[in-house]
Amino acid sequence: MLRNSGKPISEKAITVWRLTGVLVTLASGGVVGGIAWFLSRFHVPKWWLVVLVGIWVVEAILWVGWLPPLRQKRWRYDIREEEIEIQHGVWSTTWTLVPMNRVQHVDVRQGPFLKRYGLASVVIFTAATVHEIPALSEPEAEKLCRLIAEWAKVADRNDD
Amino acid sequence: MMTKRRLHPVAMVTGVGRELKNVLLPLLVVVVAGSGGDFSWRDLVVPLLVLAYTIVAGILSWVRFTYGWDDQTLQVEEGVFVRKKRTIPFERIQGISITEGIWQRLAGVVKVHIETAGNVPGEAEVTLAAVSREEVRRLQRDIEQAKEQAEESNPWNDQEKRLLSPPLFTLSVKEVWLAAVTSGGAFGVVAAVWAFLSQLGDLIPYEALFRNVQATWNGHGRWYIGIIGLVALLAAYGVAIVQNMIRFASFAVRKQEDTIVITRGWLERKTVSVPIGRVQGVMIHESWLRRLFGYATVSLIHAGGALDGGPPGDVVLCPLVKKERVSSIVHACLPEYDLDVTFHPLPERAKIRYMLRPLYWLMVPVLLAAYIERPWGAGLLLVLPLAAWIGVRRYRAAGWALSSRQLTLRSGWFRQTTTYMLKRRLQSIEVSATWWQKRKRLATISAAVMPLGTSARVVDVDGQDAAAVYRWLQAERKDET
Repeated sequence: MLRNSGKPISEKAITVWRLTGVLVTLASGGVVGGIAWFLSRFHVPKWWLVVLVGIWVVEAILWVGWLPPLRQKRWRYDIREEEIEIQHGVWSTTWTLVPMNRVQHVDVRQGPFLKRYGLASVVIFTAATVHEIPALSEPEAEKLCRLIAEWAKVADRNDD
Repeated sequence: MMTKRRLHPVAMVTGVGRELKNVLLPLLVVVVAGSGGDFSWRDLVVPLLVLAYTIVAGILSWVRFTYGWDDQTLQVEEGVFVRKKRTIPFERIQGISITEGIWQRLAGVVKVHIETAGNVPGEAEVTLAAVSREEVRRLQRDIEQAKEQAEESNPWNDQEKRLLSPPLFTLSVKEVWLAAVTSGGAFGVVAAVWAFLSQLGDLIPYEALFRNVQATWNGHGRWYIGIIGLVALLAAYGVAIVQNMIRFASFAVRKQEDTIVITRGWLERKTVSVPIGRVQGVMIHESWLRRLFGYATVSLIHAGGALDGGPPGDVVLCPLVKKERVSSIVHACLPEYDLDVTFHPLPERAKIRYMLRPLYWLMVPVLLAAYIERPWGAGLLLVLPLAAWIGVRRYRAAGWALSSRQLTLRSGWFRQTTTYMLKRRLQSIEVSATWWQKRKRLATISAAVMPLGTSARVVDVDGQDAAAVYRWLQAERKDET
């Protein structure tokens, strides 16, 4: 089996993901509320509502409390002159390998939450796939983006 | 200097026709629904305006569409109000396909579809709707010359070589028929009919129909409905067979220097040219029905878009071929690929997971249905062992093979797919393992090639083996340079 290796992403990612989790839970709360209101008009037994609310609470605990720190802990990346390695996933672990000369271009992306905490994501494009390293500190993301662009160019030249 | 040309005027007809086909159904609905019973000439104003606009727009876009080329690039300008100018360097062209539809035939022209490298489907292609044959031939010659100059690969480039070489693969009439009969196209036709009916939804009084159906159903009429359904299905199948026969008629594959040229079709002749350098992989599909007769289907994974009218990146090399001939045909077309590999099977401990996997989602619905329709519904329980048996077949079929420069993955049973990929064409490799897989030291391998979103995968490979495949791509530099 492949080992766990590489650098972790920023710990502030947990906060950002918690915030996103809160938003997601609020939105799904609206949906659950809508369903509950709809059901209540048909005189369904009360325990249905309890089940619905229970599902919603479990979801909230998962998305706000439990998953963010686990995801942050499991996310690893390693960037070397010849390849990019990314490892992530809570329930299922995925190891991704991208040879450097396959990289076509690199983006640095930043949503409002990421910006608030001084973070940015690096998105790597090959001709066939898209890979993301989320929530790196801004200078780290900039550095990675530059490095990858530089190395990809060199690898390309060696390839010809 | 390059001269700007317009397409043959028949392009106007086909262009307007295509647009009309799109607006006709909504217009019909508007007219029928809008008139609300008492029909007057006023109801025709909007549709007539739309029709007039479509026709004028079609003519204008023909007037404003020009193309031309010099010895390095193809240039296309289009757009009625917003001009869009595209310049395509010849060496970026991935492949060309030529189609002769009925309209084009009447005018003695062809439709040319040019694919270029690019990540966004639709953006990376140019269609010249009506061009004379001589012009296409000149364009193709210029493109090839430009490429050869760039690559300097063929210094002994004499005209003799351009003559048609003998085909490497053809389909006999019997095989065309067999290919059509065993194709899964029937389902496609059913889907199309369904889509058509749902589009007509506003016109047909479905509610009244359903009431009738229900009445017939209750009045011992199940048989009628069953028979009608069966006839509809058979008709759909028949249509699919005819479609496929037209599509694959006089099928031939030739190799001309560094290009694979596939010609096919009756009514609509189509020529697809794929430069060998653009092939990203080879796929062999064996549906269970064709496997019974010892046949398989071979397709090429191609870097550009939908050259062949199928899904993007898929070009059918042999619609139907005896299994034992596959290796030699592919070897003749693409000598770099080695099809005679020995597959590593999956470990024994993966078997139970393959058996159980279909049961996860079948179990609840089957038990529920068996309970509701008891006592006869209990027969449904037989589905469960059958699903497990199919799981075992899938387990046996799955496998992988690795050589110094090629990765091969195989999976599936109903439609067994074997994908051959060269190392230098692989864009990335992913190994993943869920908590359950980790417990059994198993993992899933997935390898991606161009175009965007094409990948092959095998589930439940031994963890060590998956790691070996991963490191194989990692160690690339050390053994290739």
